[in-house]
Amino acid sequence: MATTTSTSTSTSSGTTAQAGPSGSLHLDNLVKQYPGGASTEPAVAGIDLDIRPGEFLTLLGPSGCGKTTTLRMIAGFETPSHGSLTLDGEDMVALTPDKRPMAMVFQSYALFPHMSVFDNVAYGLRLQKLPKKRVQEEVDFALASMSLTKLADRAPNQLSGGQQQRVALARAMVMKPKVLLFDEPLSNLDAKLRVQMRTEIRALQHKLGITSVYVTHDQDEAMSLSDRIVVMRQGRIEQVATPEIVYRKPASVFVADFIGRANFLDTSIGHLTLHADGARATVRALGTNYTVPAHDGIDASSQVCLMVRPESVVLAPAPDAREVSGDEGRVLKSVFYGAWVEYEIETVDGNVTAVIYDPAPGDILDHGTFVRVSFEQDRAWLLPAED
Amino acid sequence: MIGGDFTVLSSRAYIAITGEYDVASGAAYSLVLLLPGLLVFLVQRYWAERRSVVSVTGKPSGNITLLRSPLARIPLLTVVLAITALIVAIYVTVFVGAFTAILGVNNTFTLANYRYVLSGIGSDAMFTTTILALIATPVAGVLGMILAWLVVRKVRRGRGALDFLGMLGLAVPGTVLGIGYALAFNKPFIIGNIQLLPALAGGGAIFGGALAIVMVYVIRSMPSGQRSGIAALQQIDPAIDEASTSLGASGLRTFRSITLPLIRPALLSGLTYAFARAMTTLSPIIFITTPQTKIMTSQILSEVDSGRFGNAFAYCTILIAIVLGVIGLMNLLIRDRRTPARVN
Repeated sequence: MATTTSTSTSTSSGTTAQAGPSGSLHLDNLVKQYPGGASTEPAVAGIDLDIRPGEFLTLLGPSGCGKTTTLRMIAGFETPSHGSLTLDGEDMVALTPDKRPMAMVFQSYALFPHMSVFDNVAYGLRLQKLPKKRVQEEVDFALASMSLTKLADRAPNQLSGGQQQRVALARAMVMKPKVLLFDEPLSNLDAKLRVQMRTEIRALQHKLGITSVYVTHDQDEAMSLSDRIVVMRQGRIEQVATPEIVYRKPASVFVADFIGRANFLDTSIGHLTLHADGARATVRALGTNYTVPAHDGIDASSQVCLMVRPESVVLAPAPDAREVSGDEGRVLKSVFYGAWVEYEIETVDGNVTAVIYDPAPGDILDHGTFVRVSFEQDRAWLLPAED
Repeated sequence: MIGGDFTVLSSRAYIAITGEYDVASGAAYSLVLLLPGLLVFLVQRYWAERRSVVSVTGKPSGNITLLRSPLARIPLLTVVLAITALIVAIYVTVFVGAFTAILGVNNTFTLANYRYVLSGIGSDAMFTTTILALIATPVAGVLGMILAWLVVRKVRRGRGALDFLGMLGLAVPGTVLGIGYALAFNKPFIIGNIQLLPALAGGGAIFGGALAIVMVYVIRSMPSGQRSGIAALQQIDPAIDEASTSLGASGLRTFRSITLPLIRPALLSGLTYAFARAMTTLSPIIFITTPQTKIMTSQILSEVDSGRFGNAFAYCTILIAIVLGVIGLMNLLIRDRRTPARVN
């Protein structure tokens, strides 16, 4: 039934397919507990998500956080122990993977080694018993849009890794599924190709408007591809938000640490005020008072810590300084990366990492130099301390 | 056959049953024989399992490094050549012996051996053996593949035990297997008053005992299919099956269009070995051949027992010819069609 729906929505080849409003995926308290007794922690411990039609959502987290298990439950390769999964209101748990209007792109490409590129891409369409001419048109179009036309007759083992993954992508896209699933599809490619494929995936997904769920442990990938990022840890969701919010206003120390780099300064709240755009707190750090944006869950008695990204640290000359005190610190390490310099600075609040972009010639501070250390207070973030 | 002055357990068991008509002590010898055999098999499995490395990447890798140092090459080459020469010598002896009156004594060329073998009993045995082996081969091959599939993909708990059960046909010494079959199936299987199975083995059994022989062939040949099946399936990334399912193929469809083509070479080699094993099996069937069902290997043994080596040699060449012929035929029939063709 599901497959018929996806067939009927697919328009003739050559034109851009519009998935329309369909493809809204709803996960409600999804749990996966592997057999082995109730004593073991569940792999996925209750996931609630509303994925909007056409949205590109990334599940991000360290290995073992349950992101792949969640994706495999959506695809149907794992059966949830509890909870529900619906696509446009239709229950998916009851359907076997082949009946779900979804297509998956695998980490290992998983091309059929005994079939040509063309046959690989045509596989799913032929299963739908489409007329030969239709199959030919659709596959030709898919191959062309992935610049694979010339490789149609090759066998998968005659292709490079990047080409193989394009075939896998074409094979999934040609089905015009309601949901595209990606299981770390770029992790087998080298860094340069990864960046290129990232852009292509994003452009293609935008064009086709297919709801996409993407699993990765690479934060750059998550940041550059996603409409929203789901940061997971030990089978639970830590935060669901746009890349910018996840980076600027992480929900926890774990998220702040996992996405990008961060300095965490121990501090306590002097004064807490509520504003229309969120809470603000006065805190003392690096010998100075700052008023910084604060996490909603904080009250005046909370144990807090202050997140300062390395690029919001500001360094100023301190010609008279002789020791580390107040806002004066000492450069412990200085590394020149071309576009930026990275410093490690000893301060009263511990060591702080600072990144200064586009340093002027002759402006690089040497090891042992004393500096005044401050930060842009609007870019800092006060959040609950980790237990 | 080549025991000489040494008394070997399996030949003791054989003599106890065929010479002394003492099935009980034959079974006792078998038990003693079974223990070390199984023990060695289990130890080997334990070692092999600990050392097995998962290398399923789905990408071509690795190349062969040639040994170039003559210091290493010359002794290795000598050993290999010596072994090869020994094997060739055996076959040449058999072949020459088949056309000789009495090898080493009366070296005149003769076709009498073939005349004897091909008329009457001999051609009977040839025909029966080939037919029974041909019946057993696909059964053993398919069973082995199914078992391999279960072990690799389907069963999670107890896969080791399942694998072991399948391999028992190989691990258990042939004599033991044969005596077991002879004892277990020579009477009808009756529970209460209901006869569940007629006698399968022995002269009075249905099909002249042929069914028991086919059963032995199957059990004895299945492990080769199982081994090559397991090796082939472990090479296939499970994501390939999942990719097929994700594109809308049912489990059966995936097996047919994806799994089966990928394990076809393994299936073929499994079948080939299964057939060769069945044709050349001697010790397990020696106790269950009957006057109605003559088997070539046991005919060869009885020719040797009566000192007619020429006839035995002739039998052997025919046996070799049949095995090679059928294997060649199978290669033609299940040809590996893997050149990807674009279907328009």
